[in-house]
This record gives sequence, C-alpha cells and structure tokens, in this order.
Amino acid sequence: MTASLPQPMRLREGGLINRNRPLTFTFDRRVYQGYEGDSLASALLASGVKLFGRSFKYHRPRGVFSAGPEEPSALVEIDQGKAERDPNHRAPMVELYDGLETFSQNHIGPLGLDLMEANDLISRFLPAGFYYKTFFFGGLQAWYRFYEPIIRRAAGLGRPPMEADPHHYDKIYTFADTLVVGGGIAGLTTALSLARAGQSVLVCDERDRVGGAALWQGERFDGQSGAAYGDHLVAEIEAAGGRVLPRTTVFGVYDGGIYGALERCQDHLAKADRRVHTARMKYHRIQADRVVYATGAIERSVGFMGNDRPGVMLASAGHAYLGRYGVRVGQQPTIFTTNDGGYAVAAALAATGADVTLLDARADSRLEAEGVRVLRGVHATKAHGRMGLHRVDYGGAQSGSLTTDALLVAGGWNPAVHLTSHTNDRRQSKPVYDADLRAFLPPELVDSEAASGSVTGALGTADCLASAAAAAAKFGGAALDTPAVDEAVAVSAPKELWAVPGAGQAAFLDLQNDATVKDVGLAAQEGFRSVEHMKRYTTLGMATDQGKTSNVNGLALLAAATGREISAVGTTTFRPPYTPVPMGAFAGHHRQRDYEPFRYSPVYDWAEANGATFVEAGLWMRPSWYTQAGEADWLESAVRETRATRDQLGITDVSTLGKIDIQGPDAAEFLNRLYTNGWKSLPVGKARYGLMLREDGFVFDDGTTSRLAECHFYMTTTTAKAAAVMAHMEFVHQSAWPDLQVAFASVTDQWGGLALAGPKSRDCLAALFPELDVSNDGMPFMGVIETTWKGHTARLFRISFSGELAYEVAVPADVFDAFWREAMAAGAQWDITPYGLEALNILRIEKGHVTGGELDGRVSMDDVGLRKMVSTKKDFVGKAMSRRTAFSDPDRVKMIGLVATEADERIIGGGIVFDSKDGPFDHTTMLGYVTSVAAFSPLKDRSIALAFIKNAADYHGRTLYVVSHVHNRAIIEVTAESPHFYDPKNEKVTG
Amino acid sequence: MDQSVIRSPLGPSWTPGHYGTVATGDDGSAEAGIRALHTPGLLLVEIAALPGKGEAMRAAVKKGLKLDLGDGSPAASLPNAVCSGPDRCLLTGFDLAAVKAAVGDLGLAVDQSSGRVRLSIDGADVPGLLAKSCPLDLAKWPVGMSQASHFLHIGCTWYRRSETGFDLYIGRSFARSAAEWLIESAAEFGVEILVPDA
Amino acid sequence: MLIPCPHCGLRPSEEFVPKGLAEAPRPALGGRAKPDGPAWQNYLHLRDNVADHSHEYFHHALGCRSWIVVHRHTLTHEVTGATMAADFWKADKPAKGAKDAKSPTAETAEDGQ
Ligand SMILES: [Zn+2]
Repeated sequence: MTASLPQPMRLREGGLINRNRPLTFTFDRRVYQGYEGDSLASALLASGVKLFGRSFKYHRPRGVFSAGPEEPSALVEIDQGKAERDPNHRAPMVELYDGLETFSQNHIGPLGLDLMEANDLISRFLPAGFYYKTFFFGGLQAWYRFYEPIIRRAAGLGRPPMEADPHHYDKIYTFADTLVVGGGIAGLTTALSLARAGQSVLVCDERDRVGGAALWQGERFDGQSGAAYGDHLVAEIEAAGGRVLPRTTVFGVYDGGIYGALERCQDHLAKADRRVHTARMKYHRIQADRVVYATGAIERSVGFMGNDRPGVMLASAGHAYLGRYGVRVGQQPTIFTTNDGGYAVAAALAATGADVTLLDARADSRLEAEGVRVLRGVHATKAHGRMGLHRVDYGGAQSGSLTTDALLVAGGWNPAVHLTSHTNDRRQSKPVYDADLRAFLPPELVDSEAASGSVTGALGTADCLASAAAAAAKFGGAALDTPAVDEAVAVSAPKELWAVPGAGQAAFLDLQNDATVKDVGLAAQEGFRSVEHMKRYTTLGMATDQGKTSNVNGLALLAAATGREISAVGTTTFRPPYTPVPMGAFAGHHRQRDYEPFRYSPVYDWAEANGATFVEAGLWMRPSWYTQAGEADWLESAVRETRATRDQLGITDVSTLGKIDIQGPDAAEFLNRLYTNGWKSLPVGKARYGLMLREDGFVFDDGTTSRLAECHFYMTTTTAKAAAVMAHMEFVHQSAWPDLQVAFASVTDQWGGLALAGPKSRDCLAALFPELDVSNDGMPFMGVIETTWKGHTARLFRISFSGELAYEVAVPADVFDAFWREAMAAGAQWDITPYGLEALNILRIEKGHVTGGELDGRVSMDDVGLRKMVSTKKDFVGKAMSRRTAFSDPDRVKMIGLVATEADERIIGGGIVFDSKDGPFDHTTMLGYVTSVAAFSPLKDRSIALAFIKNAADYHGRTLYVVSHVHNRAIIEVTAESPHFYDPKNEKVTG
Repeated sequence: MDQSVIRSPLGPSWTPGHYGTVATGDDGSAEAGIRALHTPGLLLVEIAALPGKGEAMRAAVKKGLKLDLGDGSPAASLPNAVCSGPDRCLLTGFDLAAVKAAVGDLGLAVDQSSGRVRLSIDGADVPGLLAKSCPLDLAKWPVGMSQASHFLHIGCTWYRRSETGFDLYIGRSFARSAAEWLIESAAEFGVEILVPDA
Repeated sequence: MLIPCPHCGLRPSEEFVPKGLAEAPRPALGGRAKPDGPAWQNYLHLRDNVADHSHEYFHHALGCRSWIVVHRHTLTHEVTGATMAADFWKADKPAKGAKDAKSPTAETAEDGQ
C-alpha cells in the first residue's frame, strides 16, 4: 500500500519511516498523508505545509522551528476524541497515527488570514513592558472593560478546554539504583555499563525512539546506524536487568533523590487501539540513589530580521527531518552557521540534489562541503516571506540577496542543563558559563550525580562516548568495548554571535513569546539588570517552552547591553517541569469523588435506603436528615426529627466519634495530664465529660471518657478532632513523658455506636437488653455497663448530647448494622425516629452544647463557660498558658444565646452582633459574632443561635442586632439570653 | 457468638468476579493479573507494649501464644502476627481473651476484628498494582516483612506473604473506598475478586 | 524528600506530618512556671530559625505512628538522620529543662476534683 496524497518534500528513500504503512490525518480539516514513524511536523513538512500557526502576541505566521521538545512555534490542538480539543501540543513531538485530527492555534478566521495580524503591523507600539505601562491609563475600570477582554482574545496560547479532563491518569512509584535521563547513545552506553555492574538501571527517554541525535546525524557505530546501535544497546541493557522507558520525560529533580517523570502511554495510538483500562499518561515518582544526566544539547538560533518566518528553522531540525523522516525541508536551502556543524547539514542536503548555499559567519573558516556554495564572513540580515520564506538578505564581508525556500540556522549548542540545576539549593550553585565553548555547562555535580554526552559540553560522537564512560566510571560501571565511530559531523565551538549587527524589532529571540532583540535592549535601557527581571519584563523564556531555544541568546545580549560578562549575568532559575505536564497527571486517580477516600459508617447502606441525605463531615459521609414522604425541604425533616426526639424517641448514628482505648497502670495519670479535670477518682463503670486544651491554653477538644477497669479507659473525641487528638496524645506521650506506663490504640473503626434519645429511650434500651437493670438506680447518669449482644461485646453509656434522657450503645462495627435494625424494631412501638446532623444541631444548640463552631481554636475555657472543668490540684497540657493575662481581658467575647424576635426570620450564620441597628456596622461598634444557628427551634418556635460577644453577662434579656455583611447588610433583631435554652438544670438528662 | 449478624465492611463494588482487562490464557480462559480476597469475620487483636516492656511482652506472647515475634521489627513479622509499629503488632486468629491472658500487664490488647479489614492480593501483576498505590520498593522488601505505610494515601499495614502475595490491613471505615480504588487501579491488569472460603 | 524513620526505614515525606522545630523540651509539670516565663515561651513560641542543621518534629502518621526528630539542613534540605522523639531529649540534649521534661514531679500525682 502506498500513500495516494502528494508529499512533495518527501525523498524517495531514507529515514526511519515505514513507507509500507501510510497514515491519513487532518490539519485544519484538510486531509494529508504521512507514514508510520512520522511526527506531525515531519508529515506536514513532507506534504509541503510551511505555515503551522500564529504567534502569541503579534500573530505573525509561524512554521516549525525545531524537530524536538524545544519547539516554540508549531503548537497545535488535537482532537483526542473525548472532550474538546487539547491545546499546545508541539508538532515535532506528536506521533502520527491514522485518523489524527489537528488544528492550528492563535488565529481568528483562517490560518492564512488572521484578523489579529494587525498586532504585527503595530508591533513597534507593543514593546516589552507595554502592558505594564499602558494600562495605568484609565485605571482598573478601563482594564476590565476594555483592555482585558481584547488582550485575552488576542494573546494566549491555544484555547483551554472548558470541561473537566476526561482522561484517566496514574501515579506510579518507580525505583532504581540509578536513573539515566536521556536515551541517546551516550545515556544508553552509561546505562549499559552500570547495568552490567549489577545496578538496577532505569533509562527514561522523552522521544518515541531511543538514539538521540544519532538517529539522524549519520554517524556509524561498529558499522551500524545510530538507530540500530541504539536498539542493540537497549537489548543489552534489558538483558542485564535494566529498564528503558520511551516516551517518558523526566521533568523535575527533587530533594532526596526523587525525580518526576511523565510517561505518555496512549496519545500516540490510533483511537481504536487505545487500551480502555490503561492511563493516558503515567506520572512516575522515581526514587533513585544516583542519577546520570544524559539530556543532550539544544541548538540555538541567531537574532536577525525575520528569523521567525515560516521556513526558517534550526539547522539540527533540517538535519533531523532529512535523516530521520526522509523529508527535505527545501529544494534551495540556505544554511547560516556560526560553527562547523552547519557544514554537515549542508552536505547532507546537497547529497540529495538540493541547491545549497552556506553562509558562514566566520571569515577564517576553511571548511568545505561537497556540492555546497560557501560564503564566508557573512551573516543573514533579513528573511523575507510572510507565509513562507522565499528570499534571504545577507551582509558582512559581502552583502546580497538569495532566493531560498529554507533557512537553517546553526547558532551553536546549549547543553540541556535544566535538570542539573533544579536542586541548586542542594549544591548552592548555578550553571557555569564556559567562555571557550560559549555555552552554559552543568554546575558542579554532587556525589550522586553524573553527566553523560553533549550535556557536558562534549562536541562530537567520540567525545560524547568518552563522557559516557567517565560517568559510568564515577558510579562503578563495568568496562565496555568502545565502538569504532565513523564521525559524520564536524564540530566546533561557535563564533560568538547572539544577534547580527543591526538586528532589532522583528529579530526574534523567543518565538513563543514574541520577544525580540530590541525588547532585551529596551529592558536594559530601562534599568533591568537582573536576568530574572529581564525575563519577567520582556516575557523572554516564559510559557510552555520556557525559552529552551532563546534563553542564552537573551541573557548574552543583556550582558552586552549592560557591559557585563555573560558569566556575571548567569541564567534564570530553571524549575520543574522541564516540559509541560497535565495537571491530571499529578492528580492521578485522586480527582472528583475520588479526591479523598470517604469513610463509611457500618449503617451507611441502611441510612441510604431510608431517605438519608448525606453531608461530608471531614472524610465521613454522615446523614444530614432523613426525608419522609411529603416533606418539602431539609428543615421540615429536621424539625420533625427534633420534635420526635424531644417528645418520644430518636436514634442517631454516632459511629464517627473518635474512640481511643487506653490501658496501663498510668492510664489515669495520663488522662489527668491530657484533660483539664481530674480522672483518678473516677470509679470503674462510670463516664466523665473531659475538656482538653492545647499547650497554648486554647480549648482543643471535648468528649466523654469511661473507666472500664482500674487500668483501662475508653475515650471518645469529637468526629472532627479524632485524628488530631490521637496525634496529640502520641506526641505528648512520646516527646514529653515517654516512660509513662500507658499504651493506647485507636478503636474508632472497631465500634459502631448509636444514641437513643428522648423520654422513651430507657424503655427502648430495656427492650434491647431485657436482662439488664437500666433503671435510674441500675444505670444512673454517666453510668457505663459492659455486656454482650448475641455474644458480641456491647458497651452501654448513659450520656447525652441532645439534652434528653439518652444512652449510647457501642457494639463491634461488624455487627452494628444488625444491631441498629434491631433497635429500630424495638423502638417501633414508640415511633422511633432516626435523626441526622441537622436535628442533632438543633438539639444541641437548644441545650447550649458547644461543637467545632464554638471550639474554633480561638476560645478559652472561660469564653465557653467551662472554667468549672479545671482542676487546680494538678498540671495538664495547656494549664500554664491558660492563665495568660489576655484570657482574663474583660473585653474578651464570651458565649451567649440569641433568639430571633420575629418568628419568620432566620438568624444568619456568621453574622456580626451589634447593640444598635443604626450602625455604623464596623469593628468600632461590633460586639461579637454568631457561631451556630438553628434555623428553627421547636422549643422557642423561632430561630435561635449561639454567639460570642463582649460583656456577655450584661446583655442577658437585651435586644441585639445580627447583621450579615454578605447578605446585603440584612439586620435581624434578636434577644440575648443564657445559651442553655433547654432544661438548664439538667433534670431531663439525670432523671 | 452469633456469626450471622456480621456484615461485610466492603461496599457493593466488592462482588466476586472479573474486572478490567481480560487477558486470554493458554487454554482460552480469561486470566486476571491480580487476584484479591477479603476474609470476613477474621479474629484480629492489636497488642502494644508499655514503654520499656517490648521485649518482655514478646517473650510472654511466645510463651502464651507460641508466636515468635523475634526482635519485634517489621522484618520479624509472621503471617498471623504483623508488626504495625514499635512494640506494636496485629495478631490474627486469636481471640481477645487468649491474647489478654498472654500479654498480661505488659501492654495493651484490644479487639480490632471489626476495626481492621484484611485484603489479600496475589498474582503476577501485583507489583504493578503496588507501584500505583504505595511508596515502597519491592526490591528492598523481603518476603515475611511488614511495612506500615499507605495504600492510595489511606494509612495501612502491609505484609509480604510471598514473591507476589501481600496482605493489606486497613481501617474498616476506609475499606469501602479502598476496595473501589483497588479494583480501579488493578483494572489495567485485570483483577479477579475471589469468593472467600465458607 | 525522604525521611529515615528509625522504625520503618527510608520513607517519602508524604507519609509524615511536620510539627515544627524541636528546640526546647516541654517544661516541668507542676504548673509553677509562669505563663509568661521563659520556659513556656521557649517551648511554645521561640524558634531560632537557623540557616544550618536543624531538628524538627515529624509524625509518621501514615506509617508506624512514631513521633521522630529529623535532622535536616535548612539550606540544602539534606536530611542527615532522625531520632525517636522518645529518645531525643534523653540523649545528647542536655539543654535547659531537659531533665525535668522526662518525668512528672510529685505534685501531679494528686487527683483534681
Ligand atoms: Zn515509621
């Protein structure tokens, strides 16, 4: 089978593509063909496409500039088949598959006729810092109304998808003795040497195929091509127990030998071939004892007018399209070089029959390339051709103009030092400028790091292999036979040429951000001397490519403009990620409803089947209310549940309370130190309410703790603070009193618990445990009985949170569902009513019990009226600080109850309390704030609340006003009274 | 004890059967890379020594329960006695009274039969599932060693029973989420939820 | 960042919860120290924030539940070791008040209420 659509720039032979497998794809809805092994960029170039997109700021037509991950210009949207289009894919990195649908970016109307191109015509008025300066005029309003919408539309890269990412991602913990970043010949050579020495080696290569530049440069290893030799090395590495991951970019280096890598598992496959249960991408969190940076080098350009025109690209890109894909990027190409490397590209193109001219910026070069016309001491001055290059002007030793359809620029190589400087903190140093190589080299590496290949500054294959051997030797690698290398590429350090003389506006450095030579000069002129400031002012080096092709030129020009050495200017700080990583990859499975685990009570299924609406309380799913037929809203259900509990019998699930089992001869002493009140006198078989402070004296948590035996206690905490209390107990035990003879364990999940509340709760308990005496004498208030239910341990506690006669029963969680159902059956004769958190809230506010709303970390014991809980005879956590003078400030807010004056008005949660309705409603007149609201209290027949106000005792019986600034300053009139609205003498609870 | 009132801590998603990728075996049958089992009603007791009593407690456990906990390190764990922290252990198959009798006043013994859920996984692709779910290096994890760590960020204790066999002890209230996530994460390899022995 | 838990071995920081610098032991029980006195202020609030080796409390919350003291260099993030919190103040830390922190004084033995 052969391709039927024209590929005019494809050579008849050559390249690592499978010409027996043509693939059909679209770009801007037009149909093209390429071959298996093509990238989107190579296939479009083969088809004669030059225009790939529009630039970020000026909307200039742009082509493809590189053949790798550094691509700044050719960004496309891809239809992934699930959501809408996925933007900002670098065309050289997109692997071709049958049915690939792609779209160009950053234009309004057709790509060839972008309505925003006017930005280019006025570009001289849009210099660096333009936004910062211009939008001072007219102020914020003008920004929001006028400038911002236009700029949002005109600037930016691609269009963000408007829906949630539909793909699935995985996070993988990966381990290796040694991580090798980069699967070029150097990296693979080092990896093989280490694998042969018995290390577990992981090689990550970001391309679809290992081999690096040897895939296209043409050098031979023991007579084999770079591709074949690379495959041979992979086979040997795997035979020695190593792993090689293609399509995997190591994007970050972190403390302690942690590396982030992104493996692309699906995007290169035709949609029909994608595996349903495999992640689109896997985020590898790699832990390795050692790392070898074999990250290669990235070619750089030179600043001259029109160096961004479609058809101008890096020389290495032209070489790669020819060598790897069999695509000749021009029939009449021009090479503009500052070093020997340009000659190899020129010769390779000339060998295909192309008409090649080489402009060598060096006057003293003596190199020749077969079939190539060479002009020495000459540099490109201007490239012409808005939609596609057709002519280039040159100057220098001689000047003139050439007809040409491709201009390949060889400005020298920048070692890819990015990863080597992610942990600059560790080494306290940054990349080092080598004035001879005219390149930044990695900083001094620490013992666990080595570098291999051209990232070290090595030029040429033999030098790279020597550096590979040196890296392996640093980590004790096995000796390998060095292959006989047939060098195809002459190499040299470049002449220093960052921009040609006279280059200014439209001489681009950063093609992605449209930052020009002139912008850097302007930044320097305006006093930006730091390279970091220059980056932010000009935006050079920002966005998805992070200036991989532009940074060094920019900082070199800044050095020149400010009269400093390049080494004194230095690089900007390289940070992860090296290339863009979708947020979804970091999240992995943990998104939407899987963001965190849910915790389920043993009676979750029962509650769900019985009309519960759940609320997330921390991680717990808790019933908020149970809807019955005919009920209009949550309040109607909650009020019914409240009334049933006060009048008859309610049941609620308290399985979520924190529970801690404490044992040991010092258990009572331990409780004494944790709680403000005393525990040594608590008899076996009794519970006690306890209050904990933080060490700084603020209230921490409360709960009841029961003495099951002389040396055995059972503590409960609030649901919200369960984990914090456990960690706190572990902290004080281990850090302050490690010898205290006590041990404890969380038993929160071991026990299911229910509360029976209401006048009939005793009858219901008696029905459940007919053999027990649960009368007021048999089981007085705060009594505890340990018994069994169907052979399983059951613990009965006479405690109350609702203010009613109430009991809590705990049984092992495995049998709690069965026990709950039996309680429902036993209570049926009293119309037992399950109640949720909303009813519980109404009940406890009526009773004046505090919860997290009140115990918010800002209150003292006095503020919540719990000073009586303090034992003066002992020390406890927080005691010293609880006596700090600020806590006795008479201006401190203290708890009070509020009752709405009007029956149909609801007090607003978070409202601010004032004693006048005339205002001003600000901090000068504010008395305090509302912490908890019952939208309706059956007891008061209206809304009630708990609040904290200054001089609370003075306000009992007085009219106050609750103002909500977030509800248009709604004012609710209330009367203040004791927060213990219900049964203040505790007769219900104890009777 | 009435066993009939015991309910599974795992939700409806934990139903025996095959989930995810189906690979076909040599005989044409569907193969799962991972097999997973939950055993309901397992007896489980947590013990923890009082400060300074670790060695004495282990000696008492050796005498009373015939369990040799060695030096109490994670590496000295046994299939039915899994170290979950310093001087702390999860014992399976013993009832609370027997453990209490053995431990005596040297430490804490508390029933966790309902509090902890044990999920057992086995199969050629278990390393792949572990790589997705816990931060532990299998190369440095000998068979017979426990590790207190996490499973998809849910705190847990792991025990390596064999080259590809692991037990996962996890809090009951988390078990439903853990079970769902286990099936989702294992789907890439195919997972067979096994029927527990009666 | 990896943390060498003395019980579990090398583990990633995601398993730990930090608490802050371990620069002063908890003052003696007994309640005699004044709240504004130096012992409590040092314990609760005063930290040197050095650009050097430091000692920090971490809780191995998703792990063995030990509180440990991690030795970390604040500039390079290099972690050089960790000690069980239970041993930290006993060992080479004869700092002011360290002795008192270990055991309660007689006063605390009395029950309140
Ligand atoms: Zn640990």
